[in-house]
Amino acid sequence: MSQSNPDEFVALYTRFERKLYRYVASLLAHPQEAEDVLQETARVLWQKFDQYRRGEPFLTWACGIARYEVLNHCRRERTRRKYFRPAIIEMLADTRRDNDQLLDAQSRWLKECVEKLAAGDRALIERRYADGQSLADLAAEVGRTPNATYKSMQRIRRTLLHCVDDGLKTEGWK
Amino acid sequence: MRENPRLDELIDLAFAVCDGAATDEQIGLIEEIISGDPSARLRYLQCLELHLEMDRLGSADSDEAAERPGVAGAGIQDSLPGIGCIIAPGNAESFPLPPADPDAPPVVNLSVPSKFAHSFAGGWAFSYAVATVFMCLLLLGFWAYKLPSDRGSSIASNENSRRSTTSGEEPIHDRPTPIFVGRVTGIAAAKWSDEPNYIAPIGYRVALGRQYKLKSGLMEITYDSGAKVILEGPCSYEVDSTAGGYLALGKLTAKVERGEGGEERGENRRMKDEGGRPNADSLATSHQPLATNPSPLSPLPSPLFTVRTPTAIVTDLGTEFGVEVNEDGDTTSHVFVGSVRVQASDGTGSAQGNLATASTGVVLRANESARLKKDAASGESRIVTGAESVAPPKFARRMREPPKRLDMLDIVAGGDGTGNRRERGIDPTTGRQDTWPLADTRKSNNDYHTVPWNRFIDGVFVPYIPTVKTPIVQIDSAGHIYKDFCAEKIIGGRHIINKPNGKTIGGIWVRAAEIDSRDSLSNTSCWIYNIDDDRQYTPAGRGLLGMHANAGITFDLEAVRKAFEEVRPTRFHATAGLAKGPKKYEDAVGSADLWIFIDGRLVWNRICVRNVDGPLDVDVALGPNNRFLTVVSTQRLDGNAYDWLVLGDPVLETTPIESK
Repeated sequence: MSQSNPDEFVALYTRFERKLYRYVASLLAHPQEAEDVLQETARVLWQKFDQYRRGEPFLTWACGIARYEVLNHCRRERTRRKYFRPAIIEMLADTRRDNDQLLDAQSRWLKECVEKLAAGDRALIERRYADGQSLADLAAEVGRTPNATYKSMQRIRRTLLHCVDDGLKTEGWK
Repeated sequence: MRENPRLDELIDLAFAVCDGAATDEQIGLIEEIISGDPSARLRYLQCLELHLEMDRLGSADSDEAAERPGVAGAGIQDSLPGIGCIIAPGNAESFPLPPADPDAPPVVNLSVPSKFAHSFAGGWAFSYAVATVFMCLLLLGFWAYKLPSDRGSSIASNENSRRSTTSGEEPIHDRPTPIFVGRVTGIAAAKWSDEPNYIAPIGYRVALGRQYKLKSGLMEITYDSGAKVILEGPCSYEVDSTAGGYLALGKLTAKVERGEGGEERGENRRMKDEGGRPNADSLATSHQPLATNPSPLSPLPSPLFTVRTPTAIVTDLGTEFGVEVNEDGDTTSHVFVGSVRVQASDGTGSAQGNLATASTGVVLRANESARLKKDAASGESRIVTGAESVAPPKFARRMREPPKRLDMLDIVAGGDGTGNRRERGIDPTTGRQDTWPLADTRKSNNDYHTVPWNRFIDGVFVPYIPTVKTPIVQIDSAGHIYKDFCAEKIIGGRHIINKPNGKTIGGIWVRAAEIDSRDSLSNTSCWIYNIDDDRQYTPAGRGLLGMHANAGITFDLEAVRKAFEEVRPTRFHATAGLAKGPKKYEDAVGSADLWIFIDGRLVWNRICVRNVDGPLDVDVALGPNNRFLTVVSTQRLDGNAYDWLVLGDPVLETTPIESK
């Protein structure tokens, strides 16, 4: 167990936990498993916190370990289900690192884009995300087939994606 | 807007991944699309990011709130990973606005302006005002309703922790300052109770009054006194004093080691908490009633560790023991080591006053059991021992089963020997971790390099003997040296002495037995991934430790014993050999020497290992006090070309150590 200051670790970890979660989730072919990987990552981070050099970006250090844990997780579980190959995970991690600012900018634009959605679309997406309803439950609630609901959801997310693209272009992102 | 058809398809695939609906074929298709196209990779990540950001917006949580001092709050300060589980941010508990009725659960009603709507309605000034008020209320709600005193932000595996619930807890400012009496020191496959009003713990610190309700799995609490309790789900246990607790249902095992004078032993016994306030320890040792003790069942503090149940009081007398409470409240106690006193309880945590055994109870010694049965007529408990007592239940005495063997491949790759880490290595010229298999020539100046990042590896080295006058090679951090690595041969009447030249190819590398042909590793030029006869060295299917001559690695057996107190390594076993594969120079023949040392003493070696020799069984006994195990490969007279020395399936066999 690390001999480092737990308060310092907790402060840093809680500050960057969300970003770390998103980093892990985006490298997994099954983002729902990100919780498990993040848990293991947190354990390793704490174990290795002695090795963290103060002054260096914590998130960069943590992402390095998280990437390793993602690879480990996929290697461990690959007999059970299919995951991205290690080389693909490495590529995604590199791409994410190189485009960190763009992805941050996307998050900012997304709020505006949700506001611009048609009322019905916004209600649907709120039910999906704010309530955490599964698509099947959502379909049952709105009286549509799961397939139709899924298509609607895909359409709305595409709309948001393109709206975000437009916003990013205004900031000079290509 | 129309995307490139390939990217267009990728978006659908990416959102299928987000929904957890991607098939194997679709995942393969994503790989195909993004592997050669950086813009496709970015597009894929944008889709994932959009989904994750929507999740975040939906959670009514925010980065700002998480980062703002005072919001993270004391609860977060109490949390540490590695002990519990992390609540995924995307699915983290939402922190609702305080409802009018503090007892009422928060309700998200889609007919009223939603979380999204709060920040999107109206003009900018209105939006700003609403957002500001919303944020204030959000923070207030977070602070007042969602952080019980000993909860942190991110730790604990808990199904109902994702729910929004207030459970009628009193506001934090009305509660006394929490007193911490121990720490959660282990969780194994634990699931918390589903009871709607039960809020599972998150922080690693254990507060007085905290109730632990496990549906399944194990959890270990280490009291500041040093006493350890393993809870085995399903069970309900309340930490109601500094030296014990109330077991309402289920099983626990307690281990209380005593120093001289009968005092509980605890390295971290503290009299004050982090804030400088006197903690429960200090209160207990002065035998003052705990003003903040929340349990009506808790008796006055006692220096003796005591488990109370609806029918019994089990008091430690220096021991390891188990207690089980069944649904009728009957209590079974069993002593593994030492002794305990068992008294009948009146159900309030006090000894029954009207029984002959009430004042003293019975003392159980090792391997003895007793059962406390509640008499249906009188409602009082009766102690049943000896033949009348039932066979003791099985108790979990450890958080994990002690390993029968430790995988040395996992250890070299950075694990603790119980996992399956592979495709990692150690650079013998520096001691740093290698993350990619390279077949580069590495030179060393004969230094011994410690490996601080790996607690089980003492160090690595590349034997280098520039002159026979100084044939010394240090092989462990204790300073043991070896002087006979040189090989000698008479060629044409001349004595030729070939000395390890301080060069090796690549790192000391761990490879899985089976390499997926799709894996990029299968395409590397590194020798260890181009072996033709690898299977004969991996009969157990674990994998290979590649040690191209010249290289040495020393394992720290003492660190292994410290990490696994229940066992000790007794044998080192591997299948060694000189592997073969495609060669640039067909005539070149590899050959190497393999050396194994314990604490600097040569215990096993084979000179001139060649591929034609086939697999060699390596089996070395390890003593209880041996500190270092060193494995070395050195070149033969023909130099170190193609000296592909491998150790297949290397393990440390272990033997359990009986409890003291």
